[in-house]
Amino acid sequence: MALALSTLSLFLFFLPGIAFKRAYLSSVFSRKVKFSGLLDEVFWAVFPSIVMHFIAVATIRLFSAMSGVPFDFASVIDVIVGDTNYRDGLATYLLYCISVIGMAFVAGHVSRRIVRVLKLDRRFRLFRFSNDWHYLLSGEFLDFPEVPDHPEEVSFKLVNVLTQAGGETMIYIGELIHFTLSDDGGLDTVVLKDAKRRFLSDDLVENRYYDIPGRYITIPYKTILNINIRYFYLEELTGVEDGQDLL
Amino acid sequence: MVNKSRADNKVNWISGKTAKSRELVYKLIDINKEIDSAGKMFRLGDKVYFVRELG
Repeated sequence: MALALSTLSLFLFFLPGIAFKRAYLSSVFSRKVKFSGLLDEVFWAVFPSIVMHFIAVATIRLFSAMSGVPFDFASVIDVIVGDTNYRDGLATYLLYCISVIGMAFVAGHVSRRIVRVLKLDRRFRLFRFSNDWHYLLSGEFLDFPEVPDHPEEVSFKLVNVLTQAGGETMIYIGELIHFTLSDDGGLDTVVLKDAKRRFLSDDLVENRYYDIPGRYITIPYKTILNINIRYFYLEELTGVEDGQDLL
Repeated sequence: MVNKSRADNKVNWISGKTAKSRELVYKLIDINKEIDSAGKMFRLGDKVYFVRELG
């Protein structure tokens, strides 16, 4: 019984790290929380847990000193080390763990928000989230250090989508307006606006695309063979005189 | 006649969130192979645009 409780108390001790990771990676562009190796998982469980416990202890001590409400840390430690007096501190320990887990969950969300606002995930690979589709299709990958230009300049995203359905290979070209991600974090659909299409087999015969009635077309990812994305900067000019070399 | 450069013209950047007309999208589709990182100017109706490829 004592061994089971010690194991449970140890699990609860490291649960804040797992809660932090779940919260940090809960956004749409990192929806898939996959197993990333034993060493990595242990690091994610242990390191944030220790940090959270330090912050929690400091916060509780400060609160205790300010409010005059005592908090018995000795009984909490008794439970963790499996002391014979653990029964007395079990309720306090559970209350402490629930508080720290809740705090870790909030800290995970706040940390992700900070990383996104400061654009740390674009500047540093260390902070980058797992879903590459988000960076690619949103244009944020233009902010990566190895890529010139900035996503703020993007006016227009033109995509060529090669699809296969019913034995026919079709090319769609249009403005990328929206995309959805699946539950496992992969790409689910892409939505093109004012798209055109043609069969790939016609590629060598003619160079024209056929209009598609309707403004928006949704293409499921399962039919897509590959996607070619181009980002354009577009501006309207005024005061241009006739005679200039225009397309 | 003095051939004005793009820098001499007033420019109005079109945000990615701005809705573009179907004619403008079709025009960009038609000329997309000629657009490079240096940029091209094109006319659509009575408007003139400058477009360049990013990345």
